[in-house]
Amino acid sequence: MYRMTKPRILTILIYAFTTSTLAFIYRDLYDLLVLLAPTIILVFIYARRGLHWIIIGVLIGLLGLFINAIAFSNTGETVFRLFTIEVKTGAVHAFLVVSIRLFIIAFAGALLALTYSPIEIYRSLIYELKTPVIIAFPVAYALRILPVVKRDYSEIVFQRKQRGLKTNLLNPLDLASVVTLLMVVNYERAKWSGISAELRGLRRIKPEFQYKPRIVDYILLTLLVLLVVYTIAF
Amino acid sequence: MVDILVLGVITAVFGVVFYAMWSVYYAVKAVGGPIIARLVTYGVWFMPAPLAASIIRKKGSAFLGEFLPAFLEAILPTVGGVTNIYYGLGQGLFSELVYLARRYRKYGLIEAGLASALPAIPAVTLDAILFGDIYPVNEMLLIIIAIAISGFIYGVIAYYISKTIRK
Repeated sequence: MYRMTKPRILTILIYAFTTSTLAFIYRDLYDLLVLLAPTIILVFIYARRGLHWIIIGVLIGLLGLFINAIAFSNTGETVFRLFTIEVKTGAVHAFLVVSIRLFIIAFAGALLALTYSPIEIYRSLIYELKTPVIIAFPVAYALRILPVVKRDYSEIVFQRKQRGLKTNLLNPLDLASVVTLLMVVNYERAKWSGISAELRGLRRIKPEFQYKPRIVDYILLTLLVLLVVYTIAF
Repeated sequence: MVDILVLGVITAVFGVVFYAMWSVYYAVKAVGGPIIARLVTYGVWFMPAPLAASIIRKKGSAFLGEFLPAFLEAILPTVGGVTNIYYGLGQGLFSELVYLARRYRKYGLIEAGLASALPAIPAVTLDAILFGDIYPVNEMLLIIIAIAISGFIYGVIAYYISKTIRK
């Protein structure tokens, strides 16, 4: 099967940041739709795996946005009736604008997070973006121990259930018990990892800038410039 | 080195907690709308800053404690996408301000509570810009105060967690 060449991570990062920022700025429904269309296409080309979870998350959120739009923007002419509530043009417009904005942000994020693995993104941050060590090293360590923390979390939840205790994250006391256990266990691991790294004489590396754009990167960046120019001009 | 790795632990732990909180947030949002969802859940998102500061007790630890989990959230597939970084930056800076105001000498209970309450301001501001959640001034103030109270409670919890760890 033919596989599309992936853009470089830095290119996707630029695209995701720019579209998310523009989604913040734009207020016009048409501008937001122009921004959404190419993002959807890109997501379906490069980041289909796992996308359904993002879409489910956004769709659940839409219900809350609709409640919010009716509560705070229900002005103008009546568009339709929902049980006893008259839904007016203001609410429909506010709901559409915020929904499309949410989809742009979610899809732009998905384009970054689903096209490449977190470890690949981290490596790109070091070698392509030259991220400072104080940011890159904790993120690298976090990515490394993330599966261990997830396993610890599942074990804590299981053990609490076995003892008849709840693990409702909305209850501050339940959350505190879970986080305390996770922190205590992983703090010890971090302490000994740090001591071991110091004893081994871990040094800071100074990576070279290695961003080498391919044709697909130029296409994506050109598309981004066109989107910005089009929405500003029209 | 140990401090950097402790930041890594906080990033990973809250990366998992935040990831789990997204579904909780959307479930509450679907039932009660965005305001109730924020009041109930936002405090959790402000927790890592006072936790990092209370454990590490160095300049910039509150900021990094808030920013790094948000950064991890951005590179994991979540609905918030890269906007998590904006929230992480804003909330981290406001948390750091509390410790800066105390000239990095005090890392007590009140500081932790305030460092978790103050990020209510950038969070509500970003929500207003991003989701157009702009209400009359008195309502906006009420939302900020309610989120700040939620933040303060979780800040106090973060302080006690740090005490357990430092033992």
